[in-house]
Amino acid sequence: MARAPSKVKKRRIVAAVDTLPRSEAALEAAAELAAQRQAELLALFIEDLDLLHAAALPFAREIGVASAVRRSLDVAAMERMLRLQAEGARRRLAAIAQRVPLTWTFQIARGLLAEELLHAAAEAELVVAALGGSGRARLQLEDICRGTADLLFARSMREIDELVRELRRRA
Amino acid sequence: MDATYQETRLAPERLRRRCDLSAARFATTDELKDPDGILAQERAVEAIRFGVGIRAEGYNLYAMGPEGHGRHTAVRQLLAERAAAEPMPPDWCYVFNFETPHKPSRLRLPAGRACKFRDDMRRLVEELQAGIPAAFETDEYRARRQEIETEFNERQEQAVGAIGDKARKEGVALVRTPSGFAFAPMHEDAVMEPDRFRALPKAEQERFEGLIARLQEELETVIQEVPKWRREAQRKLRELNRQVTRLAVNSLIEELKGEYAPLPEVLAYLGKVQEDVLDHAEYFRQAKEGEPPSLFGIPLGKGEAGEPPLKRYQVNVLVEHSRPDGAPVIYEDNPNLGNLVGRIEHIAQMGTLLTDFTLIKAGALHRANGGYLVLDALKVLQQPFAWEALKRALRSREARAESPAQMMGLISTVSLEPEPIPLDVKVVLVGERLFYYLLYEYDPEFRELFKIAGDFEEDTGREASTELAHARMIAMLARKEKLPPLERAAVERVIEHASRYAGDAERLSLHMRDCADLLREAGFFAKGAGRTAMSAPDVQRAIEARERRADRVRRHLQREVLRGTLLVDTAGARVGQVNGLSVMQLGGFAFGMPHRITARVRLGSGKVVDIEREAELGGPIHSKGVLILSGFLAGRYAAKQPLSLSASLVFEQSYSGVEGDSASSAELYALLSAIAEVPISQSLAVTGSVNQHGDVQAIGGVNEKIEGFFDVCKGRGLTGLQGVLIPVSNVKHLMLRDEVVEAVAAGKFAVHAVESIDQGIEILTGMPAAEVNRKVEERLVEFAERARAQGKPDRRKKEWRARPQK
Repeated sequence: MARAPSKVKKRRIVAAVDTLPRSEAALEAAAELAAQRQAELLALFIEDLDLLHAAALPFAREIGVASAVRRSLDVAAMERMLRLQAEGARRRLAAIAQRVPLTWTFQIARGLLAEELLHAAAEAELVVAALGGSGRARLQLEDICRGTADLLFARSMREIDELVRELRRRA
Repeated sequence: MDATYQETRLAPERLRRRCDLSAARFATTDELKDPDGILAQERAVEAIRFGVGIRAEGYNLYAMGPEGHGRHTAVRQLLAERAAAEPMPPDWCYVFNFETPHKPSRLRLPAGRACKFRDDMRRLVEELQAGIPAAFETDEYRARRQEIETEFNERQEQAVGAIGDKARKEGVALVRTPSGFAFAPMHEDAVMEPDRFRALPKAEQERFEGLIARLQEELETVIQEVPKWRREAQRKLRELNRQVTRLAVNSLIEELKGEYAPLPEVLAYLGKVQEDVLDHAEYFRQAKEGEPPSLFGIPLGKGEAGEPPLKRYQVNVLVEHSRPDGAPVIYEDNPNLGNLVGRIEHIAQMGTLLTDFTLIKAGALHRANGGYLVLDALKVLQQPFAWEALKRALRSREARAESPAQMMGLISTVSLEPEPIPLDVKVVLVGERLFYYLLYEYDPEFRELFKIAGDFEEDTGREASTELAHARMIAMLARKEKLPPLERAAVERVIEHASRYAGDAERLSLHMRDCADLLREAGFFAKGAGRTAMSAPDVQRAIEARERRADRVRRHLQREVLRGTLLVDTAGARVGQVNGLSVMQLGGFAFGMPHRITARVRLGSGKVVDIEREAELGGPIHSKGVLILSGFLAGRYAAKQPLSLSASLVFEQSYSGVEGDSASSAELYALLSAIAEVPISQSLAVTGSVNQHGDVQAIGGVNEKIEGFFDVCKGRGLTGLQGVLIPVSNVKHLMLRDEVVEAVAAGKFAVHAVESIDQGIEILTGMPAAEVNRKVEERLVEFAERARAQGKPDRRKKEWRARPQK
């Protein structure tokens, strides 16, 4: 569970994830690293604006990855799905925090809100991102992190596996 | 009369045949050897030897005879003799059937090898559990596995990525949704905002819609390919697993194969194991690592669900013969279906019952396979389905473990159908004669399956040689029961008891259990008295104690006779009244009691009324006896004129049924006394049946009857006039108590052996038979004449009554 913020400047790790499959593995690896380094973890679940925009189109359709079936999409359904995923990610973190000592906060951000992240990343020693959304996110993150934080970025399942291995190596 | 009284009177030495073993010259039974073979059961022994020797279908045995005659002991002794010289049968195992798992396969191994094979297989699995994960830990395996996985992922991503690139060129973005993909028009590297899209001209909107529909179709075809790629990747992975494990598996199994090279069945099984292990290498990894198995999130016990994949390589040893002691001889004490044909057990898991080939348990038929199975006939017949299952196994020559529900076809849930095991067993049923004859009569299969009957004798002839053989048997029993030895006089006493038990002075009972019980009881008294050997008084005491324990009813009846509640005279004389003798059997104890029999006569139509029969208290044999005596009466005294008497006969104070014809001579004496009006001595009691010629015939229980009357007389004081009339043909059965023999020797009691009614009537009336007969005849003639005189008006009356019909 979250602990009371300390007055002392804490080491911080930022982990940003979205709906990319297996991104929770990156989140977990980041949490474990944070616990081990006694760093605070700021977890961000990013609701990709592209997804919401796509769902708002009048002819929006989704093709199931396992079924290859076309389903119609709308914004409400998309929001519901995102909420579910975010809740899943939060619960995972809570479960990890029960196992290992971890100070964590969890936020949901719609799109990448540059100021917030800038603020967070400025104090972070590491930013971990597993984002499948459009390339804009990466550019934004690279901008924010330049010079201040170490950025590990993954945008496919394979890259997540590499990222997780990298985090484990650092742990 | 007096001459007859003296002539028929038996000398004391004829009342009990003493046993004299002085010629055998032994002091105690310690000096006697065990008997050779089984005592006096030549017929049964020959039949069993013959039946056991014939190795053909249907030559199973039925050893029949009453209980306690050593049938089980004899059968087991004979079988053990033979089985010891026979080869040990093979061991049998059940193993997993890799082709059809619900039909476990049998495996035959030479005697004593099954357990080793089981342990070898267990070791093999342990070694595989170490060897296979080690193979998977190698860098080579890890690298190759990753290669396959990456190839699959890349193929997928490339295919989707190609469509994404194509879409991008057309100004459309491919976005990944939580559960799939979606296309949307792009604006500056991102999905176009909805407002912007709505602001586009209509034609442009439609262009995008068409474009996206096409792209969606393309993506669909790609996604449909994915399962095929995945299968391909899995196939590659399996092949990789096989390659990696092959080296570890083959070296271990080949080593085992070398050890079992001469056994083709085992080699074939090991070959199948080899293939199966290569196909399921993951079982050996799971067992070591990974999460505990669960069902809908509920964890399952590790022992139950964690191991099953490896359980399939276990060996279930059904029957093994590790001790070299020839062919098996099995006695199944509780021959229910499961114990007989084996059972398939189940274990409860999550509320359901599960089973597998390791839960097949052997039955008595499996254990006796290649040898002999001894069963108690009644016990088999009492157990539901056991008899049918036994016959089926013998007929099909196969042992098949089955539940009763399966046997009757009542269930259709999946269970096991173990491959049946070839059966070569000889079954020996031990039972009563009655069951043999009933089965023979009513069960056609029985005749075909149990062709040999060994019929056990209940007694044997009593001669010097058999007495000695019996003495040796007694010696053996005493040793077997760890009892003190018997002195010679004690042995003699036991042999006399065996003769009394047989109810025949010329025969010896072969009731081994009774004999052993007597020895144990006498041994108890001998030990109590601190003797190192049993003496004759110990045996006598045991016999008397046994009687005392059982004789409550006898005492009660005797007491009531002595108190005058039951009317039995033992002195004086009376017309139409005689003391008859009956035998009662309660539990294993038989005793005799005197009964008053009375007859009354009057003028009548020639009928002898048996009151017992009229009251439906007399059995058919008793009625037959009464009819015979009226035949005798009519034939002897009223051949030329009608028998114009009416007589009634009754057992006084008898309130339950009367059966048997042993009182018919007594009834005749009572009747003759009543007709002739000659009193009968009440000091005497009578037993014996009679035929239509007036000959006295043999009856049963003669010893008990004499002793019964003796006890009553003794209770009142012996007068010297008292005695019992018995048929001559029963003299050979006399084995009376010493007390009676001594009283006779002292002239206080008498036993008369009577041949005919005339002899008997002389003793009973003290009058010559001719005179009694004359009186009877005169009285009958008188009755006839009176009847004639009275009959005339009767006839007239009938004519008058008949007239109107004319």
